[in-house]
Amino acid sequence: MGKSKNGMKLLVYVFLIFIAILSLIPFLWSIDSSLKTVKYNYAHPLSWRPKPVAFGNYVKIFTMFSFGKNFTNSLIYAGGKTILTLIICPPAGYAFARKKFKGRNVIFILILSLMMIPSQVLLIPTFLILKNFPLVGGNNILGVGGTGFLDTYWGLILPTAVTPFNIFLMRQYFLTLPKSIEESARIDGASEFRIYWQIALPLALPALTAISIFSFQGAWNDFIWPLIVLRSRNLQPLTLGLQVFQDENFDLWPLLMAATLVTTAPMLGIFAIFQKYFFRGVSFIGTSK
Amino acid sequence: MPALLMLFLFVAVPTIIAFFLSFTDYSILGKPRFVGIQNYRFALHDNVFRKALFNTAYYAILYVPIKVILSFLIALALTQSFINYKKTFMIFFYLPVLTSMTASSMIWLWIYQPDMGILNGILSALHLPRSQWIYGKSTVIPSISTITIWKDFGYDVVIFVAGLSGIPKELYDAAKVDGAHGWSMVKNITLPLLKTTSLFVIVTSIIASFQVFTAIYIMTQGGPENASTTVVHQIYLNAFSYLKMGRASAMSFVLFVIILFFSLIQFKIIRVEE
Repeated sequence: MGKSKNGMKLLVYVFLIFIAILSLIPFLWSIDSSLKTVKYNYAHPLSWRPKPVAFGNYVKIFTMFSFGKNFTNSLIYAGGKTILTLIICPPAGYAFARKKFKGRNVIFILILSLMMIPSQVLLIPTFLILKNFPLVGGNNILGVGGTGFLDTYWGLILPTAVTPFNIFLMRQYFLTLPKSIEESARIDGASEFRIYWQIALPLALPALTAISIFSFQGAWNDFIWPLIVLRSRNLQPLTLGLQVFQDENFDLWPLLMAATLVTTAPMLGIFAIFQKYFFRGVSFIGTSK
Repeated sequence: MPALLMLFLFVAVPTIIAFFLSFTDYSILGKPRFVGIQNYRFALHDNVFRKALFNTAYYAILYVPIKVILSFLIALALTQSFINYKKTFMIFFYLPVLTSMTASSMIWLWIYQPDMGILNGILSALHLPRSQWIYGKSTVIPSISTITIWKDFGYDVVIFVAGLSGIPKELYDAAKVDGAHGWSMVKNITLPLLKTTSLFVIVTSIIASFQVFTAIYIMTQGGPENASTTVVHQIYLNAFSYLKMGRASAMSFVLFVIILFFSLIQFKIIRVEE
């Protein structure tokens, strides 16, 4: 009995370690490749030992693509979207959880049904709405003449900030909070805004972190929406900026790997700091359904 | 509420516009011209779009079961009481999830590279025949799903771990007293109690698999010979390369119907939960 138990233990560990190696090896291999000179990599593509170790690649890439600019753009897109999400979605979720108003359930079901619309259906019409948005980007009041919100940060942020899912998630969370605290504050004469802002919102911190992290990560890693909305190179986020390496000569693998790793680093940094919130957020999404 | 206004402007109205456009011939330049159901008829008879539907389904059939079963087994292993370093393992599994699809595609382009890539290098060293990976007609879809399974499984592991941790330990203890062990406990306790979580993971995975695009766009452009073009890739090409906005809208509604089917299953689960 004891022996088979130990055998089982070993088997489970071997399985987990094997999977861990599989998830890490592509990163390790790209780090390794990124430290080879282009010439060495061409001659010894399979060697694990770069000779000489070409840290210079990490300097060279900055002259090949505008990492700083792309990084700032990613930050503006992801940060802007997250802030807008945080301003707009929680009050809506709160209203659906706590306020009684006419047609509340009907409106909520309508919002839920919007969740079923895949974003690909929205690509074309949202593109057209942005293009023909009145009074911006050289458009007149009828939305013609200019390019509207196309090729702007707003064009990235506005259509993606408010999702039915975030409203749903906030509502579900507010529903789990006890009403009694809010009610006693109401008896003490606190205004409705104060109850929301000073009592309900701080209690909803786990849900707020979850929607922030996933808004941010979603925008940071987004590819298709910037691809469609943006034209100018100087507005491109990292996901698009990386493509310049593909246009270049294909033997530059070490440089492409270095650039890829550099674009990945910021998200890893955020994860290192907020790691437990990531896991809590994902668990929350998985169990709040 | 501003939320309603935004949803109205960027979800509800666009859906209606897309529906309207799907019955027209529209190229951005000029005015939409009503063409009836011609776009839908085209989409369902067009060889390339049919190929895209087939490829997408093939991709889903590989991606969903492998990823879900693998994640479940990993989560099951992680939640065994004798496992140490559970957090460390989870962090390793989650690193690919954090990486953008763009970055993942670049890394795997290098891994799959036919002449210098490490995979063919290993095959050669073992005296096995080399593969064309993403450049071969029969290997491209399995190669792409390998990448996305690698990239996404960590997310499902976290969800499954949360679900498994929610199962009261007493249930297992009681079953043990009754003589149950190993797989019989998984079958009789774990799986039934994890039903909602599993269905959630399965349905969201199916929906995600039908939306596969970025890896295709970056790595293969749908090639070789349309062997990896997918529904969303066709929507993108028709809308923004060929400027066939009406046709692309019709294709997006075909996708909508497929996703709607799976979403309704998911909504039904939520209803049961509530």
